[in-house]
Amino acid sequence: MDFLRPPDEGGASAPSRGRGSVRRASRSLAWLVVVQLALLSAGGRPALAQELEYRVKAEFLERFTRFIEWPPESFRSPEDPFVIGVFGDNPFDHALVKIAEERAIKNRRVVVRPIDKASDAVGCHLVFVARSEAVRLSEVLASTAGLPILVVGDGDGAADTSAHLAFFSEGGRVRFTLNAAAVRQSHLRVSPQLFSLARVVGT
Amino acid sequence: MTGGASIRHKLVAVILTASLAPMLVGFALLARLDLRDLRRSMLETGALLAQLQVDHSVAELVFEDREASARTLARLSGVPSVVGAALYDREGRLFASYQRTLAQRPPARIAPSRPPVAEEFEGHIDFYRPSVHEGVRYGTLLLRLSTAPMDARRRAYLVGLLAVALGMAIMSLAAALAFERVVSRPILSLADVARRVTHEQSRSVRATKTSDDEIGLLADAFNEMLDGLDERQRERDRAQAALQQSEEAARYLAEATARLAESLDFDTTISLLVHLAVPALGDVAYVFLPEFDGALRQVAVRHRDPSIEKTLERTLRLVPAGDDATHPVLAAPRSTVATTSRLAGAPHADPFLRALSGLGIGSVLSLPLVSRGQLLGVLTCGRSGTTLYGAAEMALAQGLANRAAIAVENARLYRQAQEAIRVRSDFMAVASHELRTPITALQLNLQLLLRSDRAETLMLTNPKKLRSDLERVLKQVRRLGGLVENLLDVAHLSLGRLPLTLEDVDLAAVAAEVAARLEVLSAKSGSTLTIHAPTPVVGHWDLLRIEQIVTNLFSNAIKYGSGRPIDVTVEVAGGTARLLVRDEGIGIAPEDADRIFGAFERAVSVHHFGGLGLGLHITRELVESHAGTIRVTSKPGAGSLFVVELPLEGPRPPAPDAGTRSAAASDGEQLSAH
Repeated sequence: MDFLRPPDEGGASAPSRGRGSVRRASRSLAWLVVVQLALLSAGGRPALAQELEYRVKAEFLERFTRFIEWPPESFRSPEDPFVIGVFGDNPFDHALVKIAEERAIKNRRVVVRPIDKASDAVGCHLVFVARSEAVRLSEVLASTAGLPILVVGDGDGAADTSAHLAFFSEGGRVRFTLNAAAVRQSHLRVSPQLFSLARVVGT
Repeated sequence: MTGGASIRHKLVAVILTASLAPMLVGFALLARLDLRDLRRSMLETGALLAQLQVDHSVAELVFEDREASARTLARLSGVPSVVGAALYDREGRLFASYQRTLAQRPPARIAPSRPPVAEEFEGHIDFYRPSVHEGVRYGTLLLRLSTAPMDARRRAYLVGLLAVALGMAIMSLAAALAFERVVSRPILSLADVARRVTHEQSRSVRATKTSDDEIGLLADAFNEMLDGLDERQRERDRAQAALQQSEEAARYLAEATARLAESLDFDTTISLLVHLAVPALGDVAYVFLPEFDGALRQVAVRHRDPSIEKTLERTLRLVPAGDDATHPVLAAPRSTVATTSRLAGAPHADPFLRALSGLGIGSVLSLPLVSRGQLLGVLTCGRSGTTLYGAAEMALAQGLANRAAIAVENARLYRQAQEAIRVRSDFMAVASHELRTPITALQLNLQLLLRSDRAETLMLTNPKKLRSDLERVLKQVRRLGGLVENLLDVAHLSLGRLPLTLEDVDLAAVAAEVAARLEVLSAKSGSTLTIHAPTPVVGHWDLLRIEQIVTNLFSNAIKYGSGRPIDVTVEVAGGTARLLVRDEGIGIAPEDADRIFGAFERAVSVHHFGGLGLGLHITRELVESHAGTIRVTSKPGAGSLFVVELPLEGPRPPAPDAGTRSAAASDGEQLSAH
């Protein structure tokens, strides 16, 4: 089991790029969280708060992938990129693109692709369904059913759907739900550690 | 443990050492192993808990969820030994923590690259584990485990150890007491016996054997040793008693010697002897002395009880003399031990013994009193009971007998010497008288002849009267000469210097000749001397001495024959000439029969019968010098018979080295009489 693997071994095999990017990302996340909390508590401007919120969520997307294993057949070749699809209006501004540019996921380069149709979700490894397309989340889920594609919803309503993961806000903080039934059907291997942080639904 | 400690203390020490030491060592080893296992288990548990915890903390660090992290850490409260835990981020800053008590607050910051170690402190162990996911270190976990269980276990062991030690001490004491009952007490009992033997001189005390084990063997050996000591002590006592007895015997004999030497009186010595013998040698003692005829005579008796002594003295007087010629000591002069019952039943029993047997004297010891090979007497000691005299008593009695024999012999010799002096004194008186009588007569006659020219007148007027006077003078001179001759003979005989000139001599002719010569004398006395000599009896003798023998015997018979007839017989019997001279005169008392042959002895008063009394003594000496014998049988008032026996071949010549041949031997045989 991964979580019992000795840290030194993991450390020795980790690529230098990934490790450095993670350190920076962690620092940025910590900073973001601090700023977000400060803004929320001070009742700061909504636009800035939103930007900060999605920068956190962009970080979360990347960090989700650290606790989830995709089956090897999800990639046709070792050079295939890790494709993140954003369905609907892109709320991340450049934050997600910036992460994709700076970091690797599963030792692969990261491609952020906008998706207009639910059917386009096939071919992605992770699909973020924005609030603007929340109503079509079920379509995306339908088109990716049975495929090793992680579907992440946004907004409080998404949590009620059968999206694998869904962001929601609690006490001014970004939290997420994890639909256990959907995860079981998705051929994805999700680390139990993610369960311990998430609000697990669909059991 | 010192050498002076009691066995109980030593046993306690030995049992404690032997049982407690290995048990404590074993217990300590077990405790140490257990504590080591406990520590290892704690280290493993801590490591496992820390690892589990850190593995669950990655996502919390990745998503920076402090609340979740705090919740996760708080779940450790279910593990009692965990007193605190903390999660640090990749910069080493405290991310989340849990603490059971405020006193155990974790450090606010640690080194970011802290290695996975376990650090032990007073009261707790800190486990550091890096939080790593897919090779990326996200932070560090600190898990703090209390060592209180280990301390509690250690304390429990210590208490257990003390309890075991206490229990063992009590058990050792109990075991020692039990051992003491088995080992110590018998040994103390032995020691007590030894002390009683040593200090109280108790020889009968013995150790009691209570078991058959080593202690029992010790008791046996101890008793054997006591038996040996007892036996040796008895031997010493016996030796001491023997020594004491010997000393007493020596003292007794020394005193006896001294007292016996005090007196030379015969009767006193004999009385002293029986007084010395009682009570040292018995209840009664008496002495026999041999009589002149060989029989024994009881002369002294002594009894422990004076009244019984009186009775015995009466008995002594009643016992007829001469009945004890067959006394065993006479037959073989040596010490004899017997019971009176046995002796009293013997055919020739000492009648005195019968009396003793009746008085309860059961055991007797007879000892000869011998000096220079001569039996002087018999000392008999007796005592009540039938226990025979032992060797020691016999030795003591023999010692007394030997000393007594010397004393008796001395007394006897002294008495004899006294008697000899008395006899010589008598003889001197007689001899003086006998010599003075003829001298006085001679003197008177010679004075008569010389007075007023009597001799000349007689010569002219009456020569016959003168011749008669001179013959009387000559007779008196001859008598003096004969007396002097006899004295000379006695002197020669006593010195053994009587010369013999041997030749063939006819005894019958000599008898006839002497008879003829003494005819006047016999006629004067009224006795008729008749000789019966049918044949000549020729022997190789000294004629003059034979004549002297015959003359003496004939003169004696005429002198004491009371005027009655005298018969003389000369005969030969088997190479021996025999001369028998029988008179019917006054005779001789039996007790004087031997004495009459002694020098200066005579059986009758010198006032009635003149002479020196040397005749028979010289006769015997002359007869014996011719290897002959002379004896007399007589009855007072009925006469005497003298018998002389002479071997015809005469005296044997003396051995060349013993005798001395005189120069006269060349012209005739001449021997010295001995």
